[in-house]
Amino acid sequence: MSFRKAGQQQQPKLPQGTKYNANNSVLLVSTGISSLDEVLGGGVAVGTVVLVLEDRLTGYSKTVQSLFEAQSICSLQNLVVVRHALENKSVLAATLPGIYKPSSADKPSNTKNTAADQNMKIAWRYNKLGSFGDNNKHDPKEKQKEAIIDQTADQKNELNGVKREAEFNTVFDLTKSMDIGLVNSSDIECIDLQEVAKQCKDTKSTYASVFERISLSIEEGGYSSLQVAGKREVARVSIHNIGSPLWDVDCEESNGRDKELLNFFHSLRGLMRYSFGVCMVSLSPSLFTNHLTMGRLAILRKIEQLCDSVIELESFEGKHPVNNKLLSGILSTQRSSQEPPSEYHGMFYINKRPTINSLVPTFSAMILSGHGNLAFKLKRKKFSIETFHLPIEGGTKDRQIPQDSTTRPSKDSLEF
Amino acid sequence: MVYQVLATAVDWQHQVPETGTLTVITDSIKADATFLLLHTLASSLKQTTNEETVILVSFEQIFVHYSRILRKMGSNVDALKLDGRLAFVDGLSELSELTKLKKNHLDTSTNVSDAMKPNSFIKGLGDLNAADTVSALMQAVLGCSYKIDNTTNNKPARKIKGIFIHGLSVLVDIACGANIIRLFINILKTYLQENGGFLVILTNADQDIINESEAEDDFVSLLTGILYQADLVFQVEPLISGYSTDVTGQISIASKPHYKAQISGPTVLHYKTQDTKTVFFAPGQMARF
Repeated sequence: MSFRKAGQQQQPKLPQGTKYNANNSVLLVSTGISSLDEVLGGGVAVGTVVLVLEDRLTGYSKTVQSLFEAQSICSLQNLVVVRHALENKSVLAATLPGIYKPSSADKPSNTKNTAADQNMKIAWRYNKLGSFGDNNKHDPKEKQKEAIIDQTADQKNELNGVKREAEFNTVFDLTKSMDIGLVNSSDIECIDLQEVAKQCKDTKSTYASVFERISLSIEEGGYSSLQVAGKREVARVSIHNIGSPLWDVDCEESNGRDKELLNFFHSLRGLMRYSFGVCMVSLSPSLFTNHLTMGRLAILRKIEQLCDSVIELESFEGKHPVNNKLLSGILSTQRSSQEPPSEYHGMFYINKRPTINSLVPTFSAMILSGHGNLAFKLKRKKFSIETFHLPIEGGTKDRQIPQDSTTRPSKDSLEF
Repeated sequence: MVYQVLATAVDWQHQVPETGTLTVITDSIKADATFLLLHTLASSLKQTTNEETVILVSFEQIFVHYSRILRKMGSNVDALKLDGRLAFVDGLSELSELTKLKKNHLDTSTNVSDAMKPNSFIKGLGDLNAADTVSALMQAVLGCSYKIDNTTNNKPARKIKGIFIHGLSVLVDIACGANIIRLFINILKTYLQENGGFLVILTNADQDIINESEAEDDFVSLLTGILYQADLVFQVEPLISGYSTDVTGQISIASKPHYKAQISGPTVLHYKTQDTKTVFFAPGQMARF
């Protein structure tokens, strides 16, 4: 006998790699970083635009965006990438992180062994050593062999046409790069900014042409909800470094650029609202800073207003100095290298929390617990966002009494 | 009723703005004032009769967004929209010049249900001159009251109870100059004063934008223009004293001398936004509802 909800079977099937939030009636997709999903209220809502304000002089935001792109491959979703110098998929594949595979040492051992472990009660400290014969696994040659076996098994699965399952959230390994075969078999459209700029040099602006390409890709791909028979799958759009000089080669006046940018963001929001798509746009705030007052230009605030959620990364290395000289920013990075290394790599701000179909943003325990003080850290394999706290007083290392020659009794004093 | 605290503070007799007045709500990126607009809208919809209509013009969101929130607040706007008591004007999907490049357009779409489809659109404003822009805006906004019953005569089929505009400042960012929008608001206000009805505008007035802009900038010019025409102003801000879990933000109320001789109650109210309602209370009081 089991308890089952009455209308469970009547629920429509969700698109691949998505989650439904019944509170706001929105579909969510993952950003590829579980802690960022948590901060944004479970994920990014389908039909919205996320703005990422890039860190200065460092490239942490690029990691965030590459994880967002890599997640679309694992979630079996369509991906449109707009970037400069992006000729083909292999260029993109080099920037994407690989999928995390637990090593053979982390895999659970055989049932026989576990049973034997349970029975072993001579001394608890021997538990960590494992049973006899496991020593071979620590041998690098053995490890290499196992890795080759794993890889060939994966390739065999792909060749045999074994269907990959869509995942909502995947764990990535930043030390590896994405398998080129996987990228080639995925539904990805690369839009090279330079190529677009060349094609539309006299007819229209780069923003207009990029918008046209994105809308074409979404509407012809069947992701628009205005169409009658569209496939209900999700498309992701990732736009890199919008508003940089590469975008407006022809536009000399800043007013012209500002209007084009705002038009682009407003239209993009309108397009996304009626499509099964999510968009992540990155923008460098240092390009929109008044160098005299060090204040952000009005245009940046207006862009933030036109996006649904805004996140900002501020790395410690690239933080703006207090005085407003242009060069001192670079000098400050040299200074900071002498400072003791922090546990975190920078501060993480949420300038605008998404409020789709609701008056209040989705509950996030992390924001409430930290009162909005969040920081990001980039480990060797993983990017994560955590509640910021100061380091423990005295450090986390073992405390030792300093060896001082004056306090220690000398040999001479003992001798009579 | 929690909304009553606000209505009493500004002396609204029937918990909706007075006929012929212009109420301006200003917000910023740190403090969103959608709740205030929607509370006033929900209150107006409750009192709307079969001969009246309320028009919601949005440059920020599509209809589904408002429908979901208002349903949580206890008003079934889908039914009211089909009934004709609410009209929705979409200023997001087809407003800018770039939207012409799209293949599918909302007005020709057959996949959107009647309940979710806007009553009219504001589109292609970028390449129009001043007079045409004002006329296109007027037609889109007032056209709703004509269209509902398909009447061919010049008189509107329904009397307009009120017009709500969400995100007016978007217009100045995207399409047209401040003087054109000021003219449009002026004409709309005059029309409502003659024919009955009130106007509520929610616009962005981020202090950071004002500080960085020059006095001649369109954004500042629009803001000063509509504040000059306004009878009642609500300024929604984050809590000045700092972060609090019990208070989301504060509303400063300012009114013109001719609006009311005296406004009873405090001129600063604190508020706490919840999923289904917003609680208004005087500073120092706790939100225990």
